Amino acid sequence: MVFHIDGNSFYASCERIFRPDLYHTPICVLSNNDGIIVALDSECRKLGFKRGDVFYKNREKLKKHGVAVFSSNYTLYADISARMNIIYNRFAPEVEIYSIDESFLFFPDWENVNYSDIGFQIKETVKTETGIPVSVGIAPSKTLAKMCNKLAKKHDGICDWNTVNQDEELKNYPVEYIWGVGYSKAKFLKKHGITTAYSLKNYDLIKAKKFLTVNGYRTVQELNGIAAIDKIKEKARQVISVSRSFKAPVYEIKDIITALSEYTQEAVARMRDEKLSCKFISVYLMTNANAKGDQYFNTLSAELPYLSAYLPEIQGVANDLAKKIYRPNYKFRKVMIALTGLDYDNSRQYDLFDQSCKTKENNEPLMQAFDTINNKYGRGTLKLGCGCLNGNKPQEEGQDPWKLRRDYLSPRYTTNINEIPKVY
Amino acid sequence: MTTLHLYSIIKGMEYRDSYIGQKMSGFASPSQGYEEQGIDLNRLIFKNLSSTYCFRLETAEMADLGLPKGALLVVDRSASPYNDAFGIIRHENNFLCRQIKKYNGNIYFKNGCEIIYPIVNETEIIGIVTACIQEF
Repeated sequence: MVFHIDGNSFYASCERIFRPDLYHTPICVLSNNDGIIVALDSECRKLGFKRGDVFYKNREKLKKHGVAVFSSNYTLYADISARMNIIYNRFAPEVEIYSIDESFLFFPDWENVNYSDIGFQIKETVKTETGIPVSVGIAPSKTLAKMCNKLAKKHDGICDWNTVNQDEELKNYPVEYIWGVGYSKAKFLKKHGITTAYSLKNYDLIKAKKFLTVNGYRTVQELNGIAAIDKIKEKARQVISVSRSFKAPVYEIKDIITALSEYTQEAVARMRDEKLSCKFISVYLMTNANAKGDQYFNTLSAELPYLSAYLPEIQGVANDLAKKIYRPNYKFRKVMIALTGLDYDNSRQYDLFDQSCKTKENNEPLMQAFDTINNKYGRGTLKLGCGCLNGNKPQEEGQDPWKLRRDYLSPRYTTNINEIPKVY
Repeated sequence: MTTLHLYSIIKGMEYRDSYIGQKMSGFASPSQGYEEQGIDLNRLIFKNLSSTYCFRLETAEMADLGLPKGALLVVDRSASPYNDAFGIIRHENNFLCRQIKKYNGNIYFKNGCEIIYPIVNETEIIGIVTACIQEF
């Protein structure tokens, strides 16, 4: 049996945990750079706001309705999410973390067991221990469990597929809302008269495989209660990219290099986390397509002679690429680095003319020390020299034009000893 | 055990593992097999990771009951309240730290200078203080 559990208005609910003064206040959370609304609680939704609303256009309206606005506090959300998954692991023999606020729990098919009771216990435990309200969908397959989760919002937060009128619910469920049915599949299905989950469930399997790909075929099986979608196998990443939009337009190459240095360090750290090395580096530089003024978009890639996970080397190549595509007098808005050609570097055989093997022996311990220190004392404790081109000024908001705008950021209540909540 | 002694033990723990089992003299240490990990405050204080949070006590009114101003309170949201427990309560839009008193099925909250009675929907026990850490 599969449970699908997700946090209700997760980001907004996280912001409420340590703000007893906001228990009855509508809350919304903004995207990176405080651009658009990405999460709202039910009170805020009732006021007419929705996901995707541009923040600066709605600023006055939000203020008028007394909505509390927050920038995304990923540190906090990640910590709360980890706590929820610890709780799930206490209840279920197997847990698959699907996203920061959604997880699948897998239970064996027991006889004479009330799965709704288990779901209720999990819901209560999560609410008590983290303060996050969750919804639970219970069904024999992932697709149906996800559907039940949506239905759960109307059933006190728990919905067991065995207890509902299944055909009735399937007939009322539009086909484009089904997990795995995207825009193009939905278009095809509607053209052929399949508009509800009920008709998709009864769709001919051979036709499904032919017209909807093997994933569509699996979805039809899942709608019939057969668990066909496997747990996502751990696959090595294909590309690692890091990019942020700048808070304000950036003109100088040194600011671009400083920003690129931070993103490259982050990308290399993520790559090294998965024990991978890269062969190709690409840098993208662009202006804001929506703003007035001359537009510029360019990208340049380089191939390394061998797989590398050595930050100074990768950074050097990235900086060269950025300098080559930089043009003065443009209002740059975004720079991005992408590392591709990822693979595990087990090679001991080097090129006949490759002098690098000696240096490789020294590089790896250096990188390990670098990673260990940054993991222990916080990211950014150690960085390359090009990350400090603005003179090593203390980190003040507003100093670096390229830093993320997060004007409404809440404290890191659960992970930083200086930001823990106060009691009186 | 003086504070200085305790400090050097904790500081030493960071290097400790590299000292244990050092063969300086070529024959086995008499304590081989008896070594233990060292006192880990994390295991002592943070028992249920998913429900344990840290709060900072900002007021002095609980000092007479044992919680000094500025102390770090370790709070477990999954613990059940018991009579005389120190609890964090949400009361009228604030987080308060008060001692929980139960009698005859009723409940009230007190600190050094006042008593609070629960208000329906405005008062809720969030968690129980399981440890209080004060640095001097």
